[in-house]
Amino acid sequence: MINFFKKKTFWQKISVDFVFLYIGLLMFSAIFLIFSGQTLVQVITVLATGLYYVLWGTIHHAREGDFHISIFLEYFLIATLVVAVLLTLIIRT
Amino acid sequence: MRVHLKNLFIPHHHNNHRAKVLHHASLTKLIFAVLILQIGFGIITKIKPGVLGFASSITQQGIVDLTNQEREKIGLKDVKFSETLSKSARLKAEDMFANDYWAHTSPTGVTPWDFFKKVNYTYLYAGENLARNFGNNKDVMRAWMNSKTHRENILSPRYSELGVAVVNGVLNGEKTTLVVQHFGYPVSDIGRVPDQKEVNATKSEIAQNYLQQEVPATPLPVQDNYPQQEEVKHLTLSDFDITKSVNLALLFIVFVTLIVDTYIMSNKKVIRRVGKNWAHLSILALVIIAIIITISGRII
Repeated sequence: MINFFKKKTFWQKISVDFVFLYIGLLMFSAIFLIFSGQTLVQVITVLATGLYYVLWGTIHHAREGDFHISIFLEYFLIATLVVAVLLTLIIRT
Repeated sequence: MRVHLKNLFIPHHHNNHRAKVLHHASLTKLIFAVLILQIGFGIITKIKPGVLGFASSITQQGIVDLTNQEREKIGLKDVKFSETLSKSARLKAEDMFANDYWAHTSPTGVTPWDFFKKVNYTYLYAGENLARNFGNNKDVMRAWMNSKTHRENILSPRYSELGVAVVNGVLNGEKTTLVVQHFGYPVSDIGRVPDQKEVNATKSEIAQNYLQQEVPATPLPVQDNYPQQEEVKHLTLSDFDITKSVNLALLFIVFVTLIVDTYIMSNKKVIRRVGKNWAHLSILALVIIAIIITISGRII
């Protein structure tokens, strides 16, 4: 018998979170490309992407129940690396 | 050496089942490497201006041809190549290099129209487009066409002549190639009956606005000693190219390490307190694509 009230499975929960991640990343990528050459908009977009990624990681792991400061630090460092790499290319003398 | 590499890139019990490249300390080092490289370039360009160059294949003729191709697409008449306007464009580029500025108006208040006057070009309408750090003609034209004000200059039916200068020099401590477009409608053309193409274009929506308009200018003495235009070809790398390559290499190392980590650990039943590799791979893939398509060129 099918149980319609069954709790969401691990994979179902993950896929919903990942849909949010991909929508966010694609949206930021689109803004980044559309405003190519407009430094201020691109800088704000890159910073917002980094912040969104850290927030996503925090919320995702909190929902999964395995959040830890070291996981937060990992997302923060990956986001910082991404932001640093993009900003050094956008902001030129 | 082999053990060290294994520690860096392969997850196993010696590195706590996580490649060392992905450890917090290594990621922090990578971030510092990116920042130090950038600071290094800043110092080099301050101490030795021009040591970092820019490779470009932009030509005067190429810019003129692409401009006319864009005009033809909407049924506009070609702009005629003008030696006089090319001289004023070249003067403008040389002035930017000499006074180290990147703007339509110089810090001392010299406007683009002053260069038109210097070459004795008396006009009814005039316009200027500027670009720097582009590698080829198509990229310059694509950037201008993506900008409303530059596109309006290129597609304005009010201009009948075009001069182009492609000049190498050092701007803000960096070797670069400046591209200057000077558009004009000479007073001598007043009274000329416009052909059907021009009339149609005037009615079109795209040609309703113009970047610059000026009343006829008072001519100043002509200067004839301008160097001839030459094709720009120098094979040095810019700091942008180096930064782009190094940043790409660093991200690629992290990306590949994450793939290896995902593959190896998917077959092992080891509990780790780490982030989601798929999430990291997704953001890194997007950033790598963004870096590849990022171009160094700028327009005003």
